[in-house]
Amino acid sequence: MTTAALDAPPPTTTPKAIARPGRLRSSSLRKLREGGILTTLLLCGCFSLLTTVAIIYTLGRETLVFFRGVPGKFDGVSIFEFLGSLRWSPLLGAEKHFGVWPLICGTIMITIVALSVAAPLGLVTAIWLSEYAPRKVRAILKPVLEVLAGIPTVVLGFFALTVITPTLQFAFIQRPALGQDGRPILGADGSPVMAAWNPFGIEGYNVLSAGIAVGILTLPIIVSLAEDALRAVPKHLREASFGLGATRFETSLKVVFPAGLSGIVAAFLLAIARCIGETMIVGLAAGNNVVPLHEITAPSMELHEFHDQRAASLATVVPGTPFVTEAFRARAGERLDEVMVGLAADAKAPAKLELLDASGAAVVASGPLAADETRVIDWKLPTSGETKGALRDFGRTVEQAGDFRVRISSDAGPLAINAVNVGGERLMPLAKRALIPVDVTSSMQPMTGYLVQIFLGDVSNLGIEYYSSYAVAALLFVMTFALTVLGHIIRVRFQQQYD
Amino acid sequence: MATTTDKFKPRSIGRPRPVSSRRRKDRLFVAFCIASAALAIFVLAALLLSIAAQGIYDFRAHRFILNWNFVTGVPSREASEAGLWPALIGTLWLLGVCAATAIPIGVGTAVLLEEFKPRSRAMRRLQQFVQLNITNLAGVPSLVYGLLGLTAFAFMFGAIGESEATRRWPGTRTVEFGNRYFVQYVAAGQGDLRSGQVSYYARVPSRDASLPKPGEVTQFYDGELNPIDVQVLDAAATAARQAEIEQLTTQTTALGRDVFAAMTANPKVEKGEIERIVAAGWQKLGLRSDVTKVQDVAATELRESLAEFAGVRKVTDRPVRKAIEAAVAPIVAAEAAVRFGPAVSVDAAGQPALRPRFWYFGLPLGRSVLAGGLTLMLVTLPVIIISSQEALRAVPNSLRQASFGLGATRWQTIRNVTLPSAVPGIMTGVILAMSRAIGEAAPILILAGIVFIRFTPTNVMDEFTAMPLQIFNWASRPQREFYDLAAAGIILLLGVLLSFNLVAILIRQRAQKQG
Repeated sequence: MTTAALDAPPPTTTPKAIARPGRLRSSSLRKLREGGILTTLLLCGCFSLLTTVAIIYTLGRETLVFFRGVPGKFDGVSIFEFLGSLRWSPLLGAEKHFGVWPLICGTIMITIVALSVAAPLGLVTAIWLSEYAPRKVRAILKPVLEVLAGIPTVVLGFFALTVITPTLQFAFIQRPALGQDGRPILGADGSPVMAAWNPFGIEGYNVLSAGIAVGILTLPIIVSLAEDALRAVPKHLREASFGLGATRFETSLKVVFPAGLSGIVAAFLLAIARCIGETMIVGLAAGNNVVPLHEITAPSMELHEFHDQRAASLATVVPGTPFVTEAFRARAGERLDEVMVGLAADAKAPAKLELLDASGAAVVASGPLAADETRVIDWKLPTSGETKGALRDFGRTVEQAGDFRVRISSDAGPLAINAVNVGGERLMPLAKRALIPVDVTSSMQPMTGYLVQIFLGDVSNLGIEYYSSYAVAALLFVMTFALTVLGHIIRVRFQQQYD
Repeated sequence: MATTTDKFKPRSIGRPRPVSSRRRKDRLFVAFCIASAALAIFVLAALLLSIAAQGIYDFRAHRFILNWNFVTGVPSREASEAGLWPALIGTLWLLGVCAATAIPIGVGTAVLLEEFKPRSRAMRRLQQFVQLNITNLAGVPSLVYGLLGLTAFAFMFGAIGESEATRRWPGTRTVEFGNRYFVQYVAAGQGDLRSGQVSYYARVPSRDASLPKPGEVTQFYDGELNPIDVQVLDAAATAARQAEIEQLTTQTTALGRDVFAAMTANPKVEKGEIERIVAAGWQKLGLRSDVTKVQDVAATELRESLAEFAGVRKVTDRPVRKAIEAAVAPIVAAEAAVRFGPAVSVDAAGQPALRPRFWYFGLPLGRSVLAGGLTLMLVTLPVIIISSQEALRAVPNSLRQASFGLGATRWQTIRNVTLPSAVPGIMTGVILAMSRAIGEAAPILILAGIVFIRFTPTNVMDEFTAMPLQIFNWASRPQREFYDLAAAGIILLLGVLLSFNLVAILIRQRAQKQG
């Protein structure tokens, strides 16, 4: 034992602090900070209320301008015409009509097609997921549905345009394309132009493929919401049913499904709201044809907007092969105001535009139109970059009733044509007229499709079309808002209590 | 003796059915379910495969569509040369603005609704109302948000004045005179367009025409559209000119300092006196520009801007220096044009070189990245609020109560206990909401329209385009080649979305492992 060891001082043990004491803070400052934080959060909360108010104010303000008109620019449209008239022709023609029902009809048709695809599949899948499916299957199916839900709508619209429409047209079976006279159309090299078989007569833009794509979009919504509703049904109901000897199918159908009905109905309403508001899919695949509802009551056919298929199928004008539209009938005293031709983006070749009478003889142009006058409208395409060539206001009055067609021929190069519009109103072959509102094989423009069409153009001149789009959007908002509120009420009020 | 069974007559449950037929129905139903689930998977597979088949390789032309040139190129009328770069960068800019605005407001609202439960009945009603409102906003079509963004953000209800309707490309400006179109070139060494410097114009054929290529522009015009001879300076020459102009600026500020000294000495100095000082300084510096017009403007500018500082601050103070520089700038501009000759600045590619600063901000917002990002914020806000609420609800109450038991205030609890444990759930929700925002084309279509954008945005006020919009643009053309481009663009977009979702899934898995 050395002295050094004895003399060394004992090690001091200061307990390590578990936490450093903070500095004293004043409680009044803390109250101030808490109050400040609360105020900030309240402002955030008000922001959502402000958003709703802003939506209502914005839509309402511009809709009011639509209804009142701007002195000097355009007259207002009365609300009775907007909600009561059956005719919507805002873009072409000397007379503009703003009855919104054709657009609503298009929206309803797309919703019906979408729900007839999504509802059965969705409900069945939801029942299966909640009642039957083993865990492994759930682990596969849930991510698949999540991926489907996360796909952007542009992608689905592209899918509708490039896959669904050709499949419905049976495009994998090609036949020679037939012209107006029943003979094959010959291409630039003399061989027949091949086109899809198309046994159902499905047009390039149609409601069926757009509706199917919207159905694919809403399928995950219905599945997830319906499954939540079914899972919320307590187990003892199912077990009681099993105890009585029911099969799983009978239990699902007669016990679980009615119990979760309120949630399922709410899911449907939300899905309908989603279908109504869908924009990109219908903008790409459903086309711009306004449903001619007023013709159902019209005693005879009037001058119409003619809309042919897209350039990829039948409307390609090559030198030597002119394109002739279907016949439209003009009554005596009718006025032809304009012929507008929509072309593919790089159209350059000069074209000749002719109006043919019933016998196919060439045509009338300037002066009053009689059935057997012959003159040719020589019309050069505008410079490159333009996709619409138009002869406007050449205002010819028909002296004698008859059938007319438009013939477009080209001298220099192939010319791809998207649409031919005559006089600004809808043209329909006589046989198809009765099927107008339910013809899913043809193009129907819904409300959102009209909005896309307006905003694809130039809106800086702020004409009546710009304000009409706000009116349509206001109607759309009212519809989806009502559906959402209704779904909420149904879910809350009719929810089963299991105590 | 009456038995209880006399009073109770069971209803007929139905005719007895053989068990085998009921079991058969059950099995049929299962088969139907499997078929429909398989159909869903099949549809998804068909979707992805068809797009991949169309977008990756063009079998007829024997080339890869989805190549590096596509990712870094610009849109063009030629399908084989078109690219997606401006749309890609535009999408990222939009995402940044949207995230920066939506996350604070969304998480704040969720915290308010979940943590600050009201006690009084009226407040509870209000909270339910706000909750209902948010649920409704989640169901509003994104198109309506686009219209709201257009009116409220881009045009600002017309209350502030016209936005620059002739702006076309980020960093440059197309000016319209009658039906002729000109592209604006800033005078070399003068800084950016917005400080009102001298600039010159070159004619372009139409509003949508591409910028003139180097060598295409043979004639420049001045502000009154008179033809003028202008030197074209590249980057190095512009730097040299800039140095000369800065020297000129330093010299000219001496003029301003003299005026300030005079105004300090006599606050009620007359305008004539200031003009005399300016003229004297002019002589001393040997300025050659148009004397009468510029001198007058300079004198007025100096007097008005320095009036509030004379006698109050020193000449070396920053506000005074800034005011002098701003007032003297027109003199410098005019003098530079005279002394060095008019010159325009072009970048390495021969395009007008304007350098808008990244912090530039102006009202009304116009069709800018800021307006687009704010519109997307409106679209994603309800989704973020709902998912953050669920994440906050998932935090066990015992944690909060333990924190209260230790004496923490409500905000301290939220900040130190609740939010950190809810962060994985909130982040997952935010990432999924952002990935939904990337795919939204409808509000962007309404706000920006289909414009021929060739440059990426350099500040939040620039025009932009986004990936879904560019895909929509290509998909709505009739030519087949643009379909392949659209498919390639979709592959890119889905790739970006997939990476976002993977990040969200990773976060969720890590949180589940920890918890």
